[in-house]
Order: sequence, then C-alpha cells, then structure tokens
Amino acid sequence: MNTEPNPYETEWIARQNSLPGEAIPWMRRLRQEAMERYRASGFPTTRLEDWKYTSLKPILQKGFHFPEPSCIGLDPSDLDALLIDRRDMPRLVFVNGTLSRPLSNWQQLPQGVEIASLATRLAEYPEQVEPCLRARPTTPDHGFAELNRALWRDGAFVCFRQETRMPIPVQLLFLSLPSSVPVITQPHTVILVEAGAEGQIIESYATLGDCDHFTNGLTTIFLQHGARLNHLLVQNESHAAYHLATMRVQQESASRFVSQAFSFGGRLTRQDIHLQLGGEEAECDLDGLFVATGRQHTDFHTWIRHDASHTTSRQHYKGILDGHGRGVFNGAVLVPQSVRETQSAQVNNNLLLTNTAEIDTKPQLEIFSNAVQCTHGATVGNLDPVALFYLRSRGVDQEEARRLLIKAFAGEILDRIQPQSVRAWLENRLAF
Amino acid sequence: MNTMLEIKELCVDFNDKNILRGVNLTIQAGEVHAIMGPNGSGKSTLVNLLAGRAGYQVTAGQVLFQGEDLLPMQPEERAKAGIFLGFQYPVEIPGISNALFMKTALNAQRRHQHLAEMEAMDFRSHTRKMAKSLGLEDGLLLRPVNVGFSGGEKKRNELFQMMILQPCLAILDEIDSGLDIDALVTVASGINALRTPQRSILMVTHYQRLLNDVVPDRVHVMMDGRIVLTGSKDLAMELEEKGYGWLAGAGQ
Amino acid sequence: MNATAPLSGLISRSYKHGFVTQIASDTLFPGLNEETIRIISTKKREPEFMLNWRLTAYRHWLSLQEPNWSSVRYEPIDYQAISYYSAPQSDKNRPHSMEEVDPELLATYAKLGIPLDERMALAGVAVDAVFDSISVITTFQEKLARQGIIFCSFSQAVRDHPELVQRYLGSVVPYMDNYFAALNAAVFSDGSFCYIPEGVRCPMELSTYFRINEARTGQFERTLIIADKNSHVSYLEGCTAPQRDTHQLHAAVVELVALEGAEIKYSTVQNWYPGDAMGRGGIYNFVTKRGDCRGDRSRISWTQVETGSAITWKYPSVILRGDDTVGRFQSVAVTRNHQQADTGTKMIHIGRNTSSVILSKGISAGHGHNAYRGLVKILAGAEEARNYSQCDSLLLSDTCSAHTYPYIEVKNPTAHVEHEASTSRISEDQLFYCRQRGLNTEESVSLIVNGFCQAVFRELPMEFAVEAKKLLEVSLEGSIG
Repeated sequence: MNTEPNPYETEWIARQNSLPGEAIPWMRRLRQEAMERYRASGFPTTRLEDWKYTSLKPILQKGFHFPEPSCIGLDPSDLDALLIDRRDMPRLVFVNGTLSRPLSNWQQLPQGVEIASLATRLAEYPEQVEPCLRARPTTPDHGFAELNRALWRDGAFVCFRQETRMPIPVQLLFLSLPSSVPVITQPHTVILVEAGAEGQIIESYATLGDCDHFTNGLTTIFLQHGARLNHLLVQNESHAAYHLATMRVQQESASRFVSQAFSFGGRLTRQDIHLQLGGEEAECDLDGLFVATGRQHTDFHTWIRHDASHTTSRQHYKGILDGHGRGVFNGAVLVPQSVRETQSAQVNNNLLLTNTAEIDTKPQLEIFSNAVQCTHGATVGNLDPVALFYLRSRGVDQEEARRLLIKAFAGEILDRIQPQSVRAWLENRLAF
Repeated sequence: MNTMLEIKELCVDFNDKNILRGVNLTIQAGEVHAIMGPNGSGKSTLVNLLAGRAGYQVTAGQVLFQGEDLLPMQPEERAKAGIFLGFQYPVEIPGISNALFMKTALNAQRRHQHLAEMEAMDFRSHTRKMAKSLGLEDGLLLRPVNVGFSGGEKKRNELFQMMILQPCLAILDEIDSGLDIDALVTVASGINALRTPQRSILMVTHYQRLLNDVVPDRVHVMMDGRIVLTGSKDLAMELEEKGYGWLAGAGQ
Repeated sequence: MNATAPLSGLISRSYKHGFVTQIASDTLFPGLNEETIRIISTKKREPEFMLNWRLTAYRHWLSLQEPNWSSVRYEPIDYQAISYYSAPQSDKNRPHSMEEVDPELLATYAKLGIPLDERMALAGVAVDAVFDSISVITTFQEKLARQGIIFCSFSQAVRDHPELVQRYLGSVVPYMDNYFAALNAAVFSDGSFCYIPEGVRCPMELSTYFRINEARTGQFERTLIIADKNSHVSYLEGCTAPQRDTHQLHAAVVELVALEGAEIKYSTVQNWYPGDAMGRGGIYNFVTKRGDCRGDRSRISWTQVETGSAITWKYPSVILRGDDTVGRFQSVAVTRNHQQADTGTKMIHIGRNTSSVILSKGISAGHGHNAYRGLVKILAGAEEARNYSQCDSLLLSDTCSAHTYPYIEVKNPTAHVEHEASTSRISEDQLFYCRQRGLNTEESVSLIVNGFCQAVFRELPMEFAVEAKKLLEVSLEGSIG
C-alpha cells in the first residue's frame, strides 16, 4: 500500500453518482465496497509473487481518461473483419465502452435467450442481475478488477434460460476508437447459463486504428447444474493498447465449460482466468494461444480450484514469442483437502523464435488431497530444424517454411474451435 | 478327493449393481476348470472377488477355500494360503525389478510357511530355469515389473510368477488375450507343466483356442451373473460354433 | 484401506538417532552481537581477513528481513536465544591422533554407524566428523595428502591454506546472498574443506558427518569443495541430531567450485531429528547449497535424500557458467507427521551447450507438507541449452499436501526445456497386485515407494543407497492411511 492517492480516485468521486444502478441501494453498496477493496490493494506490483514478471508501471505512468459518450459515426462496413457473420448473427457491439444499438443485433432470438446491455438490464430487471453481481469470488480479485467492479459503466448481459439450446454463437465485441486523449474502458460482462442450458459466446476485443488505450475488463460466468458453455475469447487490440482482464467462472455440478482464449494484440496484456469447479462431475476444458511479437508483453494466468469431488480440468496453452516479445504463463491447479477423485491435466508449450524474445512459465500444482490424479508439463523450444530443412528441401523458402511450422504449432489449438465458420474467421485474423 | 474351492449361491454387488446372482461352482484338487461367457457376464467380478480385491459387496452366499471361509481373508492372506491370480492386465511397478518383486513375494510366503528366507543368489538360480522354460529372457528378470513389457511378455511373466509361488489354486484371468499363436502355445505348455494332482486351475477365457491345448476337466458358461451350463471340453467347441445367443434365458 | 488398523502401532516408532551424548562441552552463552563473532573468530585463531569478512556479513545480516516467500510456516526464531558456539571440551587441546579423541565421541559416531577408527572404517570412505560447532576428527588425511588432496576441517583450512580459503570463500554463495547465508557467514564455526588438485581422481568417497548434540545451540557449518582442472570427487554428507522438544536451527552453506573438466558429485542423506508426531521439536534446516561449474566441461551433481528435520528449506543449485557444463539435481524428500519441506533447485544456464537434469520425488504422509520449488533459467547467451525436469509427488494420507512450483525462464531460442510433473496417491492397482502376491500392505507400500524413488537412489554411492532405503522404510512405517 502506498500513501499516494490511488489512480482513478478522482474519477470515483466525480462519477459515483452517475453510474448505472446509482439509485439502487445494494448496487451503490457493492460499488462502494469494491472501491474500498481497490483502495486497500491498489494496483499489483512486481513484489507480489503473482506479478513477478509483469510490471503495470507503464499503465500507471500513462494516466488514462474516462471516455465521454461519443457520437462518432461508424460505418458498419468498418466492422466487417471484426464480426463473424455480418447478417444474422446475434451480437452486441460496444464502442469505447458504450453499447452501439445500430451496430448490434438482437433480433429473432430464440425463446429463452436474453442478450442486453448490463446497464439496461440492471435498470429494468435488477432482481435478475442482482445475484450475479453480488456473487463474491472465492479468491480475492486483483485491485484493477475491483476498480472495474466499482466503476464499470456497461458491458454485456447474456442469459441462457433453463434447458435452452442456442444453436448459433453470440458475439460480444468491445471496440476501442481513436480519441484525443488515451481512454480507459471497463467493460463488465455477466454470462448466466441456467440449468441444462447450452450456448456459445464469442467475446472479442479490438481497436480501430492504432491508438493506445487501456481496457480493464471483467467477465463473470455462471454455469448452473448441467449447463454447457463454449466460450471463445479473442483479444486482438492494437499493439499500443494495454489490456487487463479477469474472467471468473463458477461451475455447478455436472456443468461443462469449454474455453478457448486467444491473445494476439496489446502492448502489455494480462489475462486471468479464475475457475471454480464447485459441484460434483463439473468439468472444464481450457485451450489458449498467446502471441507476443515486436515489443509485446503478454501474461496469461489460470487458476483452477477443484472444490468438489469427481471434477475434471484439462488445460492446454501455447505461446509463440517472436521479435522482442515476452510471454508469461502461470497455470495453477488447487485441490483442497477432503475433495476426492479429481483429475487435472495441464500442458504449456512455447515456441521461442528469436534471441530477444523471452518466456517465463510456471505450471503450478497445489494439492491437499491424496485422491487426485494431477499432471502438468511445460516445454520451451524453437522450430524443429529437421522439419524446417525437410520443407526447404521440397522447395519451400525459409520464410514460408517458418510460417508453415508456426501455423502447425498454433493449429493444434485452432483446430479445436467449433464451428468451422468461427475457426475460419479466426484463422483469417491471424497473420502468421 | 479333496475339495479345493466351493462357491455356494454367491451374490455380489459392484457399484450398487447386482453382478453375480447366485453362482455355484465346486472345484476338486487337481482339476482344471474353464469359465466362458460373453462380456459383462460377471467373469471378472468372480475372479477379482476370489482374490480379495476391494469394492465388491457380497450380499449372499459363501466361498470355501480348502474348507475355510475365504471371504474374511485379506488379499495377502489368500495369496499366502495358496491362491494365485494371473491378472488380465498385469500392473506395472516402476523402479522395482521383477526379480526383487518375486523374491519379496516368495519370502513373504516362506515366512508364512516357517521356512528360511531365500537369499538373492539362491533365488536367481532357482528361477533362471523357470524363466527359460517360458521363453523369458534372463534380462527380463532385472527389468522393472511389467514396465515396457510386450503383451505376450506380461502374460508369460504372470505364469513365471505362478511357477515361483507354486499356488494350490491358480485363477488365470484371460491369460490368452492379446497373444499371437506362438505365444499362446508357450503359455499353454506353461500351464500344462503346472498341472499337478494337487493343484487346481480356474481359467477364464473368451476363446476356445486355449482349451485345445489346455484340456479342461469342466467348462462352465456364465451369463448374467450365473453359471448357466456346465459340460466337458466339447461344450467349448459348441460355443465356438454357435456363440452364446442360443443360451439366452437358460439361467432363468 | 482395511489394513490400516494394525499399522497404527508402528506410528510411534521413534527416531533412532535421538540419543544425547554426555560429554563435557564448551558452550557459548546464547546471544548474537559483534562480540559473539569476535569470540568465535578468536577461539578458532582465525586470520584477520576472516574476522573482517564475518563482521561485514553480520552487519549486512542486520539490514535484512527474514524471508517469508517459501510455503513453509514456523514460529519466529529468537536469534538471541541461540548459542552460536558449542564444542566438546577436548577441543582445547585438539586431538592429534585417533587415540586422543574422546572415547565418548568415537562411541557416538560408532552408534550412528560411522566408525571413525581408520582400521575399522567403511572401506573407501574418508570422514570429517562435525560435532555441534566443530570438526572433531578427519580420517585418512595422510593417505589423501599423498595425492595432494586436502581434506580437513574448515578451521584447519583457514589456518593451513588461507590462500585457498581467501580465494574461494564466498565466491559461490556470497554473504549477501540471502538471510541465512549472511547469518552463516557471520557465525559459522566449522565444516569441511576439500581441494582436489588438477588431474586427480579422488580415490575414496569423502564424507562429512554432522551431529548436533547440545540443546539450544544452532549449527552453522560451512563446506567448501574445490575441484581443480580435470579432477573428480564424490562427496557424502550425513546429518543426525538428538531428540529434543524445542526447535534447533541449522543454517549451513555449501559451496562447490568445479574448474575446467572437473566433476563433483555431492550426496546428502539428511536425517536431522524431525520432531515428534505432534510436531514438537525438530531441526529447522535452512541451508544454502550451490555449485559453480566455473570451467568448461565441468559437471556438478547434487543428490539428496531428505527424510529428517521439522522444516527443510534448501535449493542445491548449479551455475552452468562454463561451456559444455552439466548440472544434475536428484532428490527424494519425505515429509510425515508435521514435517514441512520446501526444496528444489536452480539451474542457471550461462555458458554454451550447457545441460541440466532435475529429478524430484516428493512423498507426503501424515500431516506432511512437501513443496518442490525450482528455477530453470536460460540466459540470452546460453546457446543450445538443454533442461529436462521431472517432478513427481506421491500422497500417502488425506491430510498431507504436495505443491509444485517450477519456474522456467528462457531467453534463448535455441534452448530446449521440458518439464513434467505429476501428483497422485499410491495406485490401488499396484497395491492389490502386490498383496495378491502375498505382501502385506506395509510391505507393498514400501516396495512401491522404493520403486518410485529408484531413479534417485541409483545416483547414490552404494553404502548411502542402502542407508537411504532403510531410512525411507522407517520414515514410512505406519504412515499409510
């Protein structure tokens, strides 16, 4: 804790009475409490074990401003490349933190699927969102996640009602636009999958143009008994952007969560995934790929708690480090005492392509129960010289051969994306 | 003739399911019996129960081994009393050589019989011939138990252990599965070599092939947790031709 | 497991080295200040440079905070309540030959299975016996000297070979390295010193046997091994202490220097008193061990079997400075009752074509807490570095815990780093297989755990391997459940 006032304290004082839900007493209290926790912890420093390899000083030094609601006219065709299917796919598009109605589409949703701006939903059906906003995580949040809880202005709310099967994916796009001063946006998203329901979400973050900005995102996901969710996260902001994001997942019994996370953009990024397997037979399957080139710094942290017996987690993350890029991976699995018969497997493979790139990886197991089967593995290496030579001997030039092999390395993760249209879209977004 | 094993109206649950529903089987000393039957008929449950694996609930019936109640005995007590289970899937124990494993087992048995423990050198010469008769390379004795063994090596290793421990009752669970013809012949002659007037053998098998080489005194067919038919070795031939379909409902 | 009940009787199996030797000793009053350090230095008749080094280290230590980053937990240590020097009184007129050694002492070591009488000594093992703060006897010194090998107590080395000590002391573990290394530099009382001259292959195993006897003393020994060009040495270290119901601090430093083409193998069987079943008493074993592969093609290998101590906190490390150097770390750590271990290694790859192997086997039983913490660091200039790590944990009770924290930092694209880890309980299938062959539960567990540790035991010299296996068996008796 330091004696200087915490960043964004003045914003809090100026804005706390105009934030969504300010008229709702419990909501005011939630924001107030989050602000207090933020004040107590501040932004993490590299003295903390969890932040050993990632310094947030550049963000603090920079000073970002809260965006004013803008009315910049956006041509829908600007978004072509960012949207998976322009025509009929349900989507919410947020521009600098504010929902853009013209760019969004929530027509013709099947019954039982609800998609809305979280601020609007809070105003219209506070009782529906209250339990989700009130849910306290089992482990403390980082200071900036508390800052989001205190100061969020909007985000998406998605609910799949009991036993609903949503056949097509829903896209949530968070877009940042150039502005006169660097801005901070704090999207706060809630996804609720009720008992027996099934759905797919694509949550993507992007920048139009090359501006620097700071996204401080928080997504909380709830899977009730037997619920299933496929979640695709794509962070592809400008190489000047700062991106801190926390994804919290709470799983009840027999639920299944499949996550694919891709981090390509940003100057300095950190993605935390905190997942709690809170009910028996819950399982999660997490994949991811992070790429850091140029001077990018990408930090990926996963934290999985097996809080119930007969739970399963599987993780496979890959990193590609090129140029002066630096990658950090930390994957922790915790099994408390008295939890029985859990299975957990974790793999982290990294490709280190240049002398100036760096990877720091730490797969970590914290096991207090003997009824477990946990494994983890990590590798670091360059492209296989034999494979490289093989391709060149067939007439493929060095650059092309390199690209092919990197693509093959990424392919293992990309190939698991369903459906095909989404995979094709993402592959096109990747410039290997 | 002495009765080796007597199973009476045995009912067993596993994971809250009735698997055995009244099994009756008597094996006299020196006899070789074969149990055949489709997958899921309860064969594996029966052999695991006889060896004392945990997790099975006996809901009715009894099992007598040489006239004694078998069920309260711990697995190692049964082993020392002379029951040997040849595993369908022999287990790997990394870091422990086959030789050390068998020496430890043999000496546990010898202590039980109030015999002097066998020294490493004596043990080696004692076992070398046995390994050879089964076509097991000497080097195999020094490799960790079943680690990196081929399917055939694992099965022959089970027989090798049986030779060392000289049980009264050998229960061989699909000792023939996953073997090619040559290995099957070796295994069969190994079993035949172990046939004595005192020793009983209970074989569980899917195929009639093994029974051509190891001719059983009795063949039983197990279905739905019961022995539905018992006959001579000719029954095995008949099953090979006709399958099990014609027996459906026979045990009701 | 239904065979647990008859095992419970064995839980009370006590620590067999827990006896106290009744011997007149010269013990300093508890407390730590510059005066204490001056007294230690004077008692040891040290040259000026040693005193100065100690005092600098002490002043630095005062500026440090006790570390709290490891996963072990313990009550704060009162550094003023510890006595920093204790020696058998016979030291006043040090023994010059075996006949002059206090028979009580000889009997103590004989009881521990370490005969110091050269005539009946273990074949091929030279021993430096450290009792509380000082080395009481070093065997086979003369025989070794014929090949130019120096093997003696640290105090003797300071007096007889000050140039070697001054050149290498603190060159691998500087006094500012960490809190306990600074404390050790300030107050260390004795330890072993070894120098193998160029091209010499040491003809026998060298070993140090550490024994804490006095109550309320700390043991702060320091070992320095220098293997000159193309030499080879294998070194063993054993530790025991009496059973006492208060905690005792052991903060040692071991420095290894391997010059061009040299090889050092360092093996430890650590069996300090672990405390009782309730967690009372036991040694706090806070040790800094590091080897420096300073010359090209040098090799350093650490093998450790850690069964004792209430708390073990050590990371024997290798700095792979020269080109084509090789570092190895092999460890078995057992924690039961309320023991805690936070152990592992650091492999720092600096030179080209360096390689390292890490093999860690953790076994937790009772309320034991076992953590592997390791760092593999490949610096930008370390072309073609290789590392393979494997960390496996076995959990034998439902009240113990196992943690794995491997840090991997790579800055060179030609590196190949591979880490694998697993945590599981003992396999039911393996247990049943063994029991079906007639072994009881305890024999089965012992066999399986032995197999689990085999790859590490294989690295130990024969006598130690046998001792390690026995220790493991004793440690595990009755701790299955």
